[in-house]
Amino acid sequence: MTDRSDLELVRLFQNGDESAFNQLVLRYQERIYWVARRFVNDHEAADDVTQDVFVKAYESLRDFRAESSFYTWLYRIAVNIALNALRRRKVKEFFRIDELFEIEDPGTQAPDEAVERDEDRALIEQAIALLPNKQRSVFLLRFYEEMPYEEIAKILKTSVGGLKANYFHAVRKIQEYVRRAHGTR
Amino acid sequence: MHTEHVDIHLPDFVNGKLDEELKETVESHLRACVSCRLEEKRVREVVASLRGQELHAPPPSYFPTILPRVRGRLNRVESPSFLSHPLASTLSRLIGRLALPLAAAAVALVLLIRFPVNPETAGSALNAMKVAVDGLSSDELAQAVLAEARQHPFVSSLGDHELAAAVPDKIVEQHLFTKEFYSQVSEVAGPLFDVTPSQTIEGLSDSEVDALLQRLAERTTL
Repeated sequence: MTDRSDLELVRLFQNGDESAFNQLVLRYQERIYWVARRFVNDHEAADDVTQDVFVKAYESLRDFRAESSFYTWLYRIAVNIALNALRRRKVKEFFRIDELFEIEDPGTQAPDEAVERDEDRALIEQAIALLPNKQRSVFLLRFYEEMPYEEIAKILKTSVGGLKANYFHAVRKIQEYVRRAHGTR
Repeated sequence: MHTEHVDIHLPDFVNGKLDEELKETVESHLRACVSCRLEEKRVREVVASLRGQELHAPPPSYFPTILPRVRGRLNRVESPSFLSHPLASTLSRLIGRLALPLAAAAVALVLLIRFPVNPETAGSALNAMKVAVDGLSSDELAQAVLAEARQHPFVSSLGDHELAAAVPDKIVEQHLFTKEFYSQVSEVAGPLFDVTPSQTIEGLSDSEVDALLQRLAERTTL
């Protein structure tokens, strides 16, 4: 089962083989998790998005017509759900206990370096979060997922033409944001 | 020789993602164009920063939990009886993500049973919990929560000092006594024991609490 192509597994599932769907989940769960994680920036939300993606995929897979690859189709679901999650994200959750335990090993680096690194990370996360949805999507899929523009165009249902400009402007905005923030410290 | 500016190719150029032909075009342009060279320098800086911001990976035990939980959600969606429960949609998410807070909740439940509630002040479930927990000093309660938190693999590598420093101030003061905290506990406990949301936690028997603890102990993800 594990050596079958995506499309073969989809066809098996569409013919009633539930275990084929399991194989698709196992094949893509890590990649979908990391896409979600890049979008929503924390483990819990990424976990929610990852589950939502596969639940949505299960519900829609019987209607999948292979007009694009399964991979592209699944990523499109992931990007849409992640963007929706960001829209719906509430300002604050009740429990932030997990954050209390996100403590780096204090023995591995000097305190100042740790603080500076965390600040830089926060700045970049803020900069990415401020990007318009399309720029953010292009940036995350290109920079971290290293997807070809043609694939990104299919996922975002847009033309290849403007994607490079979107990507460049996203990088530029991140750079500008970080530079300004450093200038005001 | 005039060539068009190559700025939109620079992120891919810096990341080594251009084909040979375009790469040579960009290199050639950069040799002649000061403004694009300056832009390239900026792009290199931000790419270096981005590359240095690797996210913390979840524990290896996390990924094997995805499929069972997706299947669990799908099974519940297919079950009419579960669908009819108003809290069904929140349960799987809460169970999946709140192992640690629920561990604290479990401690509160145990404390609730262990320390009798003063009838005069037990007008509400929130008061009941507060009274029970108030029977302990912050340090004692922190130790109890700590013991539960210790069961979780994510925090097992942390030192006692780190955990103990965080627990009394943050968990006890900011979370255990909030109305929202109690509400969340009720939401989780209700479906687990097939009770209505209006039934309070005090109504749980020892064996039901044990069952809750057992369920919590089986969780492997945050």
